[in-house]
Amino acid sequence: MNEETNQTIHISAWRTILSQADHRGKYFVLIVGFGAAAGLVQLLTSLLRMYIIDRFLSTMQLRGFLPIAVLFVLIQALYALASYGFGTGSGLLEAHLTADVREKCFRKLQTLSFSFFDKNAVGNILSRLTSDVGRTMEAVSWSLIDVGYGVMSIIGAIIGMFVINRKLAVILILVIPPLALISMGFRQLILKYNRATRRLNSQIISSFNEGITGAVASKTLVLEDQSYGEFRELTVSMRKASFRAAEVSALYMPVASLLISFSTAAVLYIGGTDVLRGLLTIGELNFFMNIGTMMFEPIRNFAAIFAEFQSAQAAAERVAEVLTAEPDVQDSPEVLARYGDVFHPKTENWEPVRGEITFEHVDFRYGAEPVLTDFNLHVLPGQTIALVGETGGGKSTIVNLLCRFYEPCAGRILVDGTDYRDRSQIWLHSALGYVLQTPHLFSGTIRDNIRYGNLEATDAEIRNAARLVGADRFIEKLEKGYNTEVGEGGSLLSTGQKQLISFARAILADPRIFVLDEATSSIDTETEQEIQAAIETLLGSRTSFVVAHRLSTIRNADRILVIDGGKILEQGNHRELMAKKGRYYELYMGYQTEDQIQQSVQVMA
Amino acid sequence: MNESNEKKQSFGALWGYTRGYRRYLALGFLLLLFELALSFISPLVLSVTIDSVLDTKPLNTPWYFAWIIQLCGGIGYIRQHLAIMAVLTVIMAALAGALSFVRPCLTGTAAFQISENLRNRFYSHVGRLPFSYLSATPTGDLIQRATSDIDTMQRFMSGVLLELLRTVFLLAVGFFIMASLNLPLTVLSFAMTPVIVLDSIWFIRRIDQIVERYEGAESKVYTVIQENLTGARVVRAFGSELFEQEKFVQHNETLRGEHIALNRTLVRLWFTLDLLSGIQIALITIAGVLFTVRGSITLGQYTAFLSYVMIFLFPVQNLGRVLGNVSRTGVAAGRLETLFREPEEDYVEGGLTPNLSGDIVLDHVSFSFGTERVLDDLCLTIHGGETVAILGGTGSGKTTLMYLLQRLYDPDSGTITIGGTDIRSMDKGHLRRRIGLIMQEPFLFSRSIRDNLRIQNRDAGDQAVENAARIANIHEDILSFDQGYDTLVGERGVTLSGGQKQRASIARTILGSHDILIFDDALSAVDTRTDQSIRRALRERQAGTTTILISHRISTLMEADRILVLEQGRLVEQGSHQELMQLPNGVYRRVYEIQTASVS
Ligand SMILES: Nc1ncnc2c1ncn2[C@@H]1O[C@H](COP(=O)(O)OP(=O)(O)OP(=O)(O)O)[C@@H](O)[C@H]1O
Ligand SMILES: Nc1ncnc2c1ncn2[C@@H]1O[C@H](COP(=O)(O)OP(=O)(O)OP(=O)(O)O)[C@@H](O)[C@H]1O
Ligand SMILES: [Mg+2]
Repeated sequence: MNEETNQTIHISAWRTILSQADHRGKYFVLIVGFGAAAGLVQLLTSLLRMYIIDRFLSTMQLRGFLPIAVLFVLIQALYALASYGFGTGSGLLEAHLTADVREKCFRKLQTLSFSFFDKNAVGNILSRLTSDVGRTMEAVSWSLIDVGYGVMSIIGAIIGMFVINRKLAVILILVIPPLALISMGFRQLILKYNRATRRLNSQIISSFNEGITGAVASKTLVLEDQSYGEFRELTVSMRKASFRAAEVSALYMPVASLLISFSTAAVLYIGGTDVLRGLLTIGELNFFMNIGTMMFEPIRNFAAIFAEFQSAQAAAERVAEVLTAEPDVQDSPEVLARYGDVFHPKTENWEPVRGEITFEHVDFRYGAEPVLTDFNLHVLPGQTIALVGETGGGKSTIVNLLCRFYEPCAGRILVDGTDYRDRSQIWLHSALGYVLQTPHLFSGTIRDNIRYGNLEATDAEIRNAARLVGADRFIEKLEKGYNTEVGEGGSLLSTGQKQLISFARAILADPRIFVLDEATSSIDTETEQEIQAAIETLLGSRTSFVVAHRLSTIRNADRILVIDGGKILEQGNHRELMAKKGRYYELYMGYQTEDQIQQSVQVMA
Repeated sequence: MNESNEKKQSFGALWGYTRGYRRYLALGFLLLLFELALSFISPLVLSVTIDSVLDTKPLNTPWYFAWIIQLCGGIGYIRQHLAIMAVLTVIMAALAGALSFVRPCLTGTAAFQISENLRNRFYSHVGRLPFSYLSATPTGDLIQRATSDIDTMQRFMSGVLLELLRTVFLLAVGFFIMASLNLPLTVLSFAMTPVIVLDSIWFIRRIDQIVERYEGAESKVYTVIQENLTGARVVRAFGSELFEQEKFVQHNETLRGEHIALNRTLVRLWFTLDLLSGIQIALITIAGVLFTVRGSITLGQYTAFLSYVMIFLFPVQNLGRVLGNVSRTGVAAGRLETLFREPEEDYVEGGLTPNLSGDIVLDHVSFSFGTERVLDDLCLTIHGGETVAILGGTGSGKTTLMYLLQRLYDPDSGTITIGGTDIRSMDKGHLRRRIGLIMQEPFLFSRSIRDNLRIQNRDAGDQAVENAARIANIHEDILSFDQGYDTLVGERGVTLSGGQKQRASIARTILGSHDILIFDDALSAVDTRTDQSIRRALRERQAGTTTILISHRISTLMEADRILVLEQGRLVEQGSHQELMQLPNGVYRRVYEIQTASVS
């Protein structure tokens, strides 16, 4: 985040956020309107008091007081009504804005690509959607009252003062420019400290998040005390920064009131002298003494709003960053017009996916170091391609590119003969069944999780998918069967069970293109063997990519690619590659020759 | 536990949180009293000016202000020099200003310290909660407590608390000072106060309930967001953005509804407060006129009364907002306290710290999750220094067994001893430190690779780090990254490939020294060649270390001294490769045959 405070960023952050809620405009009008009404009523109270003092108290008689008294009561009731009006308005506005903006942010997050989540910690994004949004909207909604109220009281007060006594009016108004100036000075300072506290706040949330999600790792590594020590460094900085911010804000108010007291003093002196000369009534003097506070109250309020906005500013910027984040993988406007976006897919225009995949001179890098260079591959519909090779060679990267979770830096990838950038992402994703290397389940039941692959699936279909991958055996043994809760991220299941569920989930999606990225690495051999045939039938008619290290699972692939350093080192089917006695042969033998190993064990013993 | 009792407890807890900072709060409170006194004296300046400076009435003002007038040279002198009153106005403002600067600094010191302590306590406590509690609790819910509940607490300490006290004392001090001017009018000035307070209390009851519902809804929304973010890749892969959005919207709408209900009730409260205050203002304005005309008070005192009513009405009106906050704070404190009261894991600090290189013996160990029996009367021995491999079906309890060794869980029955010592009598920190467990699903922390590797041994030098990385066969990979060992690893290690993550977590563990090393399927994402070279390197380096290898790969299993085969929480076969191959229908033999089958 950018440290320099610069005017345009400020406004643009707010504009970005508020533009998400322009249909709530009526509340803005309502709140400001009622606020202004309240300001007017307050001014009337002062004027009426002036009238009461000069008319009844200076003359010490009560004739005609009754209607004035009734009027006074009415005005008070009006004030309460106005306050009900703006309170309701602000309350509604706050609730709606918070919900609206949170929804917009969430929606935006659904469109961001993998790279965004590579770079941004979950805790960091979470804090933007929760506390930052709340804080920003609170500031906007409740400050509006003060804006309406303040503007009205100031304008009203200025007009009233000039009508009653020009000289005293000028004295009171003289103090406004220096007050504004000082407010400006404080503004920069407060913003600076608040930025720091917001940043620390997000770091603290990230730490909480990591501390909680990584709790097992911390326990097994016995890091509790150490992480706690690191966390404490953060909270100490947080305390210091918060204190700085509070200190500066606390300094602002007294400085402002002192300034104001100068003008009140001047009014007392000059006005008092005028009273002695008979140029001013006591009621008028009282009016001016009070109008001073009445007018400066809103000005100080403005300063408070200012401070509030400044501290909310930092939060607003963080929210705006989410709203304006650009996904690295985007559909062009033409594509969107034709195929629709994730929320409004125009499925009627979608071409069916056959599953022919072509990589043409594809270069790819995540950061600076290239992962793939000039990668070429042609896969026919229905083929099963196995990717094997050393770890970090780029196997997952290839399948991620194919799924368009990332896009090539150079070259292109064709699906059914067309550059996939000429189709929408959701078109491709809807045809995908992807079992990720790290299985991730959502909290909910096993049934919910399998159904995630196809929300319309019936229970029979879900059971069938589970049976295909051999998950039914363990599920049916569970007391609650398919209704067993899996826990957050699937934490109540074993790793292999999670893999089976996420496999079943992919099968249920009935995809044209299957991607299995080490989908069975933690599944036991017998289960794997039992489901092998079923899986092969399943993959048979679909284009599939299988990444595996346990080579027994991919022996029957149509084509095996040995990937090393982002290049295809060898390719062919199992028999061809074995005959070649190259890298694949080595891997395969390393994997299983008992004789060699037995010999080496015996030698060592 | 009944509701009011719970509430009492949460405020008791709140009081407990202030321990150590009470003197700041007390001092802040003292200054507040001065501030209050000052704000009651200031209107007397105008009052006296009107009566005795601009008019010629004799000085009629409480003793303390009369004393101030005396200090300034007496009323006669002031009549000649009106400027003195003007200067007095400025002095009062300056004094009030100084106080209003120092006070927030004091209360801020306390509030920020308290919230720092709360955050620390929360973090430390959560880290020490039992594994079983943590795996069953949604992260989003914990995060919400850690953030918004603690924020509420901080706001309470830094502002709300004093505002509450201020209101109470304002009324007390105000009554005293006003009564010294005119008692009957003072009584009238306070006429509405009891009504206002009763009204607030009536509302607060209802607001309390709504706040609780609101917080519940908020925590659901946080959980949905958190899960969506952690599962973002799955969401993309299934193109289920729309579904996620709809799920979110559903919870968000509930929250919106609760938020509206909450604000609406608050506004109703404020409305009644404004109305009652309005009545109060009208009462004093009108009654004051009657009193003045009757000659009970002077014109100057009338203006002072008007100012006074305004001074205390504003906080009384605000009482609603403040009480709303207090109620929120009560709920938040209750939620924090519930968590804080959750018992921490017993670390057996000061327990035995024996050498763990002896035999590991499980004696009739059973363990269940709820009603699901995972380990069933398991008896087995792993000899010190031995390399044992464990083979077992998916969900057969291998990981759970390892967790029992580290005491992440404790067996329901049966005992586990290492070198003859029951692990329950050992210092848990020691036990876990001496057992290097490389988890099935590696978790890396978001920091540089070097710091990740050194996380358990912060003093390890670069040489040691590189050695460990070489053994885990990840040194070359790391060097190929732009920033080498300084490359930042994303949360949970997202920027590394699956195999790199596993090898990094191996390197992290072997950087330390251990009596027992456990690989829980920790090489599954690593190709066979690398797998083999890692095991070779380890064997040389960690000779004498008891090693437990959980794996599905025959090539890994067969190299072990002994192989244990688990099936549904029972030990069904054990022995060396050769021995197990003799069993005609053994699990091990079947697995072997499947994996070594050549293409015909
Ligand atoms: N999101 C990312 N950001 C930056 N670098 C990445 C990212 N994902 C992978 N890499 C790097 O790209 C290279 C290729 O990784 P990839 O995941 O494609 O390997 P792989 O062949 O699938 O390995 P494995 O068998 O271990 O899963 C690795 O060096 C890895 O560190
Ligand atoms: N926290 C938990 N709560 C409830 N049940 C659990 C929990 N963790 C694991 N289980 C269940 O306990 C059984 C054993 O799980 P465990 O993780 O020990 O299996 P595993 O042998 O390691 O399997 P895998 O080879 O798949 O890793 C499984 O049926 C699993 O569903
Ligand atoms: Mg396991």
